[in-house]
Amino acid sequence: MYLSTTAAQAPHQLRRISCIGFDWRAEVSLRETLALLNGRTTDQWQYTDEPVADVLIYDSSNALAQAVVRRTTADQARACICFPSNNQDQGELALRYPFGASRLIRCLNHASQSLAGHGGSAADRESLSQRLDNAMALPRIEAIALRVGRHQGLLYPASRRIAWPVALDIDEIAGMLGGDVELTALGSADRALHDAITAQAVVEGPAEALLWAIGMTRSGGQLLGRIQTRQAYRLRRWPDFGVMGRRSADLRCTALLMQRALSVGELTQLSGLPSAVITAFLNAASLCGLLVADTASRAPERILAGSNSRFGGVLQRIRTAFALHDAA
Amino acid sequence: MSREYKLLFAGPMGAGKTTAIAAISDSAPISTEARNTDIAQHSKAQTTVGFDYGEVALEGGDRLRLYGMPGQSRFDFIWKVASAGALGVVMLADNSRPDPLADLSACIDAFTELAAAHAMVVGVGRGGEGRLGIDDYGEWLAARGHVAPVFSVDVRRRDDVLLLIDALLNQIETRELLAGTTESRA
Repeated sequence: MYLSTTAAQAPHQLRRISCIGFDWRAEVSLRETLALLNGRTTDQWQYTDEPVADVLIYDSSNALAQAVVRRTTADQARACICFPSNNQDQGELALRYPFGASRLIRCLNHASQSLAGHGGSAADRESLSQRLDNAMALPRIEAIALRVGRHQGLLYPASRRIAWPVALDIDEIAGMLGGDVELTALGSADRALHDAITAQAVVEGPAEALLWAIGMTRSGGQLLGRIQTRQAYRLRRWPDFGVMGRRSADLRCTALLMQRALSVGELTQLSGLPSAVITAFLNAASLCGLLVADTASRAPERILAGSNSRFGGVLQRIRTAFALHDAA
Repeated sequence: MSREYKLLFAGPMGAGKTTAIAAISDSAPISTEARNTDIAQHSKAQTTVGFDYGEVALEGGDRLRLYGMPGQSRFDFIWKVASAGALGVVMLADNSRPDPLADLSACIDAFTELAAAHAMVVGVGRGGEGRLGIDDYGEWLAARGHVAPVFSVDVRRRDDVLLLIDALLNQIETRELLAGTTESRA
């Protein structure tokens, strides 16, 4: 497995770590070992389920994990730690399972150094999310041609549907996210190219799962240019998380924005989630056409201290019983 | 003293209520199955005529009771009685039915008060087999005054049932959280 990290932060700050492609036992072991390292590493480390973590640990024998790490490190400066698939990789950013505390400390400290040296330059590049959003906002556009490797298809911005050569299941989406995505906006003058692609892209369906995944994983830590931090937003409807997968953070943000229009700051404060998670969520919702600016005149939200819950702690205990991760 | 909390699973016959409860209950659910004499409604051989019942142990000795409501509308009196004191309702639909929205209609109406006071989530099974999409369900609910999450699910999968529970809990939590906020002039 490899560890991957995001752009520069000051030393001794709280950094977040996540893993991709792990067996659940390895994930639990990592969480427990991290909890034992408090104060023994250069930076503080906190485990997160979010793909926007500062550091990613991945299984180098897992092709999908490799692809995701390759892509996320291209979009955003990170350092990676791996579980090597054989004895060849014995570098400073390589770990073995079961985790030894000393080795993990060395890896994390090396990752801290690596992060400090990045300087954040990669964050300045325009993300796929932003490029796609720019393309969808072009006037008189009929479709966007997407090319990933040998596959090429058409995204229809108005209907948020996509025509692709094969069924766009979770594996195909993961493959797309791991590759370089070329975008070409097509207008009415591009009919010949449109027809040529249509002949190959024979499977048509909703693009929501793809757009959501792009927003979540290919935003480079930057809010889309169209999203204004002071503007309050609400969601038009609940996304179909049955297709896109359950993440408590997404459910929490959605539940909030379905009930009240909130600014980026208010959503961050009320959800208790890291701003990077909020950024990815809002970008994903925007790309799916679900984020609606609230035009009504409103005043900022203020959280009142000491509000009592009718349910006491039972909701949290239900989460514990079902092992649902706490979104906050 | 230990306390008990209640979560309801509702929906038309054959939507998967018994299966959903079995997916998350600590022990095999207790079901009151009988031979289905209402073949016009659904072709399955057995159906629930009373409650399905499962439970989940919570920290502190409390229990979460899971009740599956009988799907036939002639049992609608049970639906309303069971709503009292429930945390929320998980509504299940079978998209392969000829008119799944009509099937849902009576259930949705019966649980309107519970949905408004606490939370409701809709799980649509066999989504690929019907002609309706998730958006159709959402629009249909909105037309009836409900703003509820609608997800494509396979209730044989525990994680899909947990998605429904998680969404339900998030609705309740955020409603309480927002009730603790106020709009203030800067």
